[in-house]
Amino acid sequence: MKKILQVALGLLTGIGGFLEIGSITTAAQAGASFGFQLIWAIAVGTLCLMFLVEMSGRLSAVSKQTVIDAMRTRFGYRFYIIVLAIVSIVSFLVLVAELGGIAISLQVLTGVGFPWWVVPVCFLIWVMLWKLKLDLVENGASALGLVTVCFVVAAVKLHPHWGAVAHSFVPSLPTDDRAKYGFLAVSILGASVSPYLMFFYSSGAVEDEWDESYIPINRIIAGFGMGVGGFFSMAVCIVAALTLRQGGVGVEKFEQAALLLTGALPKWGFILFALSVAFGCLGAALEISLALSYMFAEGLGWNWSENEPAQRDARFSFLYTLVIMLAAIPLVFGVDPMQVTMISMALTAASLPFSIVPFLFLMNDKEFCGDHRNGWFSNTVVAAIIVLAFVLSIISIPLQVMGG
Amino acid sequence: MDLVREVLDKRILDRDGTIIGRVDGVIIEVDGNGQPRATQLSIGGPPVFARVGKWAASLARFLAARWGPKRGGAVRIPWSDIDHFGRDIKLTISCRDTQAMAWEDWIDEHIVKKIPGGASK
Repeated sequence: MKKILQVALGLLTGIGGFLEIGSITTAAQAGASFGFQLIWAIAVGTLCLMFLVEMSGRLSAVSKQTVIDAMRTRFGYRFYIIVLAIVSIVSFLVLVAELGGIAISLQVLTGVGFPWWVVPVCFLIWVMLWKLKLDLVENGASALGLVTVCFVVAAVKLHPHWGAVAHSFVPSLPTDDRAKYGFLAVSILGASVSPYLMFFYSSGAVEDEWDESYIPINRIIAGFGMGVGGFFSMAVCIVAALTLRQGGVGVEKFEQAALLLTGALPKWGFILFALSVAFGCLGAALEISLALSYMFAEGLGWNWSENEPAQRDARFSFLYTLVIMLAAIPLVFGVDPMQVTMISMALTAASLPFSIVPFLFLMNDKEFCGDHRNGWFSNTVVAAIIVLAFVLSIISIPLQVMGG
Repeated sequence: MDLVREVLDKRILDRDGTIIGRVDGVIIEVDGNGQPRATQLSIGGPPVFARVGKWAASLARFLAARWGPKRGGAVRIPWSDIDHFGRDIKLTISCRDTQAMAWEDWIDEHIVKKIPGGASK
């Protein structure tokens, strides 16, 4: 009975927590600029995430330690510091984007400029982390995030040509604007495959004291939860293709993206879009703040637990407090959340080899995974997708920068 | 014993299971007969920053002189205080017998305790 509940909650987190500023923005831009053509990138990114989340849960269930614990123990201090530096910088930028996402949805809902919302939003997130235990933080935000199902409803209501949607699972190149196409593909991969999510998920598994009996549950949560989440992303892309592209609207500004649902859901579309972004980003912002604290605490050997009062793990609690305060600064000064989003998603894709390659070594190490090591299939799938994301990013990021 | 594989970078737990740090270094002394012997575990402090780079060590010294607890250097745990080696290294002593929690206590005292609501969840 307890395990059925855990599967349900795991699925809730996977589905309700899937969409956030990165996946929504990149999928909407892809749809508005290239129709269904980039759906393959969402599928590939989601597939990679499914494998990575399953692996990090499995590592923690078998070894009773988190991915960061294992990285520090296996590869030593210097290597851990390099991974920590790269992943924290990128995750910090993503956190800025998520906080900005909440603030800007409040702007379109209320008409009050987003910089004014930043401090109250950051305060709310901090209070949740300060006072709530991990399960409540995670499941509360994910339950609110279920509002993102409105994208699926809208996609179905718009009656897309399902044959064309299915066809777009096979990658193809557009005739023009290839630089933008490549950059969007990279950003989509970066938005789907988030290293912070692995670190968060494996820390949660250790906090919940998973053992080997959780391996099947973990597989269902990772496969089904993330898989359904991926369909939500595709729904965003489909809706954008059918409303924004045909209406000739770009998605350079958030206010334009906010019109996404008004075609399919004229009455509630605008509010539902803003709420979806706000709740999606809330969940992600909570997870990233915690993931950053987990990454420092586990690797450096501090006491850590989101289930303990703040005073029981002072360094851990202080770190997320500091991180949230720092992330608020650029937004208070009016830095555009959409731009931070696109930059941070592309940088995430470029940084993937640094976190995922050592992780794959751990997943093949008998000392950590025993008889539950990776098979050749999962190794190949993840390695191939990471190489693809990296190669695409080193080609398309400079092109995008030069092309403005 | 393979010091790099079985000792270095492992987690150190005190007798009550509190995580007090990771093995950032192993102190090896040479006795009268010229035999090297591992005598202490080292946690944190300037040596760790020196492993990142000289600039990091200088920066750490600069900051530590103005801010934070004054514990002076890395924490050393004598080999005789080790209970056993496993996935973690378990000690026979309490974290309170060492300086390992100096930063934890300093941040708790000066920052976390001053913020309301941190005592319960």
